[in-house]
Formats: sequence, structure tokens, C-alpha cells
Amino acid sequence: MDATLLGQMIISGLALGGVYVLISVGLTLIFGVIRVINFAHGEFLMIGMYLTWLLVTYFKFDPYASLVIVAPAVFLIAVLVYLLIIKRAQSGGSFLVQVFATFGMGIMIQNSALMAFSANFKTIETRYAGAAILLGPIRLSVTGAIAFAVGITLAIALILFLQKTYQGKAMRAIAQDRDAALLMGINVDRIYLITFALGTAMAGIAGVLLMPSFYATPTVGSVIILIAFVVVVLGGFGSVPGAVLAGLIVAMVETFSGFYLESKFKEMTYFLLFILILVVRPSGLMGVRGTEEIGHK
Amino acid sequence: MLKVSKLQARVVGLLVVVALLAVACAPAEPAKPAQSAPASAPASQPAQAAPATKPGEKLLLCSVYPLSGSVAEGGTDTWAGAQVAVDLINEAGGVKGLYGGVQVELLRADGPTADAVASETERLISQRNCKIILGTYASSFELAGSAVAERNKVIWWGTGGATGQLTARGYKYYFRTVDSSPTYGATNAGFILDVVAKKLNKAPQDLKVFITYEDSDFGTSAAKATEADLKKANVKIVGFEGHPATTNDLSSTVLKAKAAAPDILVPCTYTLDWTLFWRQAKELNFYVPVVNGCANQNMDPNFIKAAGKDAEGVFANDAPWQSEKMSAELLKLKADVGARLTKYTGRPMSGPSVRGFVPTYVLLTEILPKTGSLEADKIIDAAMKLDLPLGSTIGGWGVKYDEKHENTRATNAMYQIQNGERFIVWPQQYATKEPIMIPLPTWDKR
Repeated sequence: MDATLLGQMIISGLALGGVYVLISVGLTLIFGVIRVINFAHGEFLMIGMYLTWLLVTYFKFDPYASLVIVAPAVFLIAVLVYLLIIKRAQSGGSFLVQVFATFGMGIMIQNSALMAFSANFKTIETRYAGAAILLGPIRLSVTGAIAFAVGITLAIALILFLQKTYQGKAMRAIAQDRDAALLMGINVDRIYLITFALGTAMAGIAGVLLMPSFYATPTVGSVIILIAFVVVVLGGFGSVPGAVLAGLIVAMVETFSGFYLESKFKEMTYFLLFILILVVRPSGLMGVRGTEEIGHK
Repeated sequence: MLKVSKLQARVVGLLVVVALLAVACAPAEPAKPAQSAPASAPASQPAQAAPATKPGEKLLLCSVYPLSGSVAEGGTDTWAGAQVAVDLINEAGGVKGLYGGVQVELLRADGPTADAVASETERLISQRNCKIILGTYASSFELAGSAVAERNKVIWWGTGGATGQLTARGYKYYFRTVDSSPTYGATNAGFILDVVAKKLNKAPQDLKVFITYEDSDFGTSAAKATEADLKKANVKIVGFEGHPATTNDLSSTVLKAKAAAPDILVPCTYTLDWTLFWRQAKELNFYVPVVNGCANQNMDPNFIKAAGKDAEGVFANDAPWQSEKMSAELLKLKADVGARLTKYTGRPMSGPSVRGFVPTYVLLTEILPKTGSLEADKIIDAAMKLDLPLGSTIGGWGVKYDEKHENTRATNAMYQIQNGERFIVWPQQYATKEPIMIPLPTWDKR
């Protein structure tokens, strides 16, 4: 096998993995702490993409500069969604209510986008489209490089936040034992709110990073979210470092299977991987055994 | 207090679930086209207009198009083509010969997926008593919808599906007036052998072709037809790679193509995946001397806008509707249709809108006036007797259906993107410009 080609595939896979990492860390964080599987997570990525499109098209923003507006905006939208829907669905106690609430919310967001932006796809024109960084004979697309750098940096920042800060420690405490955390005086409601908004903002940021190389349609989130679920299961539900590792692995699997088999089989390949993990190691690569059994104690 | 808030939460939760289920289960509403469309009533209106069976009533023509979802743009364009045909007929006094002249009403339903097309077809037939259904845009959607129509003995008047499979099934109630994947294959191969081989100074057996296609019925059938026709001329097929049209990464396909170093790339794709492929080709420095696209998606205005100067020189196959070598009468009609299309979609005339217009116009001007009723057998009989020579529609096509109800006079032409616009470059009978940029300049020289 040609070493250049191998190197090229690894680089292309890593570039693709940045976005997968970012969208998956948010999903897994929300699950780990709040124990809600957010089926509308992909829709927040879509919101991030449309906000970027609006800022670039009407306000002449650089797509990456729009991060400073899109990330807080998605954070605020997530705060509202948490207060109006997630919190109430959660206090209902039934896991099914959460599933229906987030799934239905996804459909509502999709259809709202359809009304607002029509079904036609939106793209932005950037000077980086098609540009590549040369690493010897290997080429790394500028958009992929930025997505990877920002994705990994934010994921590491999130891990440090969870390890070092009081809020982060409180999040981990709740993930381990909600009742004990409550007894220790942690404001669980507040931490839930911050966790949901933070995890969701990650999806919004992933949308910004994806926009220069992809297109926005109302259904774009549902395409990407399937991959995010594979990543989260592979990494271990609730494990942020696991999601980082798994995001890169899934992207690699996608790139290599696309080359050695055929691109039309790449979805099949990572879903086979998904089934395999569920059978062999349901807690994922770095998940805690037992986290696959969800619900309150 | 606690009890009340818990109860409240449960009520809200229940309401959310009920509301969401209602949204999820509601029949798909047609999406608004880019510009507000007058005329036709949306399909979701309660049943009121039964099909015209008596004089004085309106003739109900039904249609299913993807008006939302990933192929909505093509679907909306095709629907607009059909709607313009209906508008023209109505303004001219309705369908002559049918109960002494009736006005036509075009119902439209949204079918963003193959399943939705099938269920909407079922609904139009069972609840709106539709006798003729126009549709649709994507091949896989048309396969699903026309199967439902066939089962119900209702005419499916094909306006866009290209796969050869549609007519190969030998359906009694299915007709295709537009070009099909065998036509794409023949045009691709014809152009490659007649023009590209000569310009590259290569014998057919020395030409290397890489075919990449979206893996639904459209891309697969067009790619297979092209492969078969090229193999007959001993052209080497160095790659035959499928991908899902919704994919967010095609770098592995691009790398595979790069490793195969073809002379010609034949993409049989939709617009979005083609735009992604071509951008990643540039990023990964995959140089190919000639791009011979399977269909109009490869020169879609959205692709041209997104790719900018990188779109220059790309060839693609489409019906010869853009030809200026037509009768003065047809050119006048084409200009009128084009202006009306723009009013509906905000876009100029396109391949899909022509495929929506021509079959509908032929049905309303050439077939229904001769049947005297909407009986399927009479429509089939009148259609089979129809004999319009090449160049008698604004699509450039003639109409003569064979025993499988395929139009044998739906020819195609090769276009090229030159200075951001598309022009017919082959064959001579339709061409308005000469093919240029063979081979294409390398990426660093563009």
C-alpha cells in the first residue's frame, strides 16, 4: 500500500472526525449528567448551520467569526428549551416522555426550518472552499483542518472543565449519583441547565464548523445525528473522552471503508460496528459498566 | 403544592406528546415554492372537487412531487412545469374535445421520500378519486408511486423518473414521455467516442473512465447504462463507485478516483453530492482531463454558484430544450413558459421544469382532446396512436411510445459550462457552441 495514500486517508479521516467529536461530546455529556437522550441534538447543529448562513449572507461575517454569535445564541436557545420542555418532561419521571418530547421537538424544529428557509439547500461561499494545506505530498483541506483543531481543542477544554472547575466536578458528581450530589448541597437544577445548554452549544459550534464545507437543509441534522449516536455508543454513553476517541475512530472507519469497499457501504460499515459494540461491549470503549441501563434509580 | 406541580408537569408532558404525535402523523403538507404560487389548491384541502366526469365540471389532474426534503428543488421545478402547462391550457379555454372544453385543476401533494410518494398516491386515489397522476422527480420515488397507481388501475403520467426500470416493468398504466437512463448512457458514450476521444488523441480502448454515482435508482441506472454503452466500444472502466446522495464526505471516493487516474470522470449524481465531490476533488488535487456529467444536476445553477470558476468546462447531459434550433412557434412558447416558470419558482427554466411541462402539455393538448373521457383504456389507446416528430416539443423531443410506453423520441444532448452558463455543444443538430477545454487545465492553472 502506497504510504502517501495511507497518510492521506488518515489525514482525511481525522479532518472529518473533528465535527463528529464536537457533536458527540455534547450528546454524551447531556446523557451522562441529565440522563436524557436528546433526539433533537442534530437539529441544534442545523440551527447552528442556518445561523451561520444568515450571518455570512446578510451580515458578511467570516463563517468562523460567526462562532462568537452562534455559540452563545444556541446556548440561549438551549436554556429556553431546557426550561420549557426538557425540565418538564424530566419531572414527569417516565423515560418515554423524554423520548417523545425530544423526538417531537426535533420534528418541530425541522418543520420550522422548512417554513423559514424552504427546503432548498443553503451554502456559503468562502475563500477557503477547495483550499488545502500541503503536508509534503499529503493534502489537508483548510476547512477540515479548522474543524479538527477547533473540535479537539473544545473537547479537551470540556474535559478540563469537567476535571478542574466546581461546575464540572458538580456535573460529574451528579452523573455518578444524583441523590448523593443533591445531599451534598449541589444545585442539581442549575447544573442540569448548564449541562444541557453547554452540550447543545457544542452541536451549534459543530454546525458553524460544518457550514463552510457542507450545506444546510432542514433535514441535515437527522443525517449527522445517526453518526453521533454510533460515536456515543462506541465511546461509552456519558464518557466525554470516549466520545473524542470514538469520533475519530468512526471517521477513520468511514474513510477507510469508503476506499477499500465503496462509499455506498460506509454507512453499513459503521452501523455494523454499532451492532458489534452493543453485543460485545455495551458500555462502550470508555463508558462505565452499567451506564447503558438508563433511567433514574 | 407539590402534587399540583407534578400534575401540571404530567399534563404538559402529555400535551407535548399528543401535539408532537399529531405533527408527526399529519399528512405531509406541500411546501411553499420559493415564490408564492397562485392557482392550484393544496392537496390537503378537504375533498370537494370530484374528477370531472360530467360536462361543465373541472378536470382534476393530480400530482405528487418532492416539495420538501433533499431533492425539493428539482421536485418544485418539475411541479412548476406541470402547473404552467395547466395554466396555459386553462387560459386557452380548457381541454378541447373533452366534454366540449373543460378547465383543469392541478392538485399537488408533497412526497419528500419514496414512502411518502406511495402513501400520497394511495390517498389521492382513494380519497380524491384521481384518474391521472403526474409525477414525480426522483426515479426511486416514481417507482414507488407508479406501483400504487398501477395496482389501482390509474394512469401514472411520468414527468421525471429516469431509470430504465420504470418502463422495463411493462406496466399498463405507466407512460414516460421524458428522457431516460438508457438515453443518458447513449449520449454519454456517443459524446465520449465522437468528441472526447478525438480531442484527447486516444483510441477508445485506451480511454480510462471512472464512474461515480449516487446509489439510488437514478444514479445507479444512469451509471450502469453509461458503463454498458462504453464497454461495447471497449473503453476501460477503471472505477464504478456508488455513494449515498446525502453523504457528508466523499474523500474516499475522490482518493480512489485519484489512484485510478482516469481520462474521464462520469458523475451520475444529484447536485449536492456532486458539489461536495468536486470541491473535495480540488482539495485533494484529483485532476481529471474531462468531466462528463450524467445529467443536468452536474451543471445546476447551485453547483455553478458554489464551484465558481472551477465549474468551467464541465460537460453534462440533458434534454436539448435549450437549443435555439426550433420552430419560431416553439421558441415563442418556450419563452412564455420560461417567464411563467420564474413566477412560480424564482428560477429560470431548467431540465426538471421542462420534464414537468412537456408531458403535461402533451397530455392536455394531444391526448385528452381525443379521448372524450377520462377512461384509462381510452387514454392508453390515444397515447399509443400519438406520433409527433422529433423537435415538436419545447424539450426538443418528439413523441412516439413503444409497447412498454417509453417515448422513443426523447433524445438528449451534451452541454458544457462556459463562462458560468450552460450551452449545448453536441450533437451538431442542437449545438450552439463548440466544445472547449478538452483537456481541462490542472487545478493550479484555473
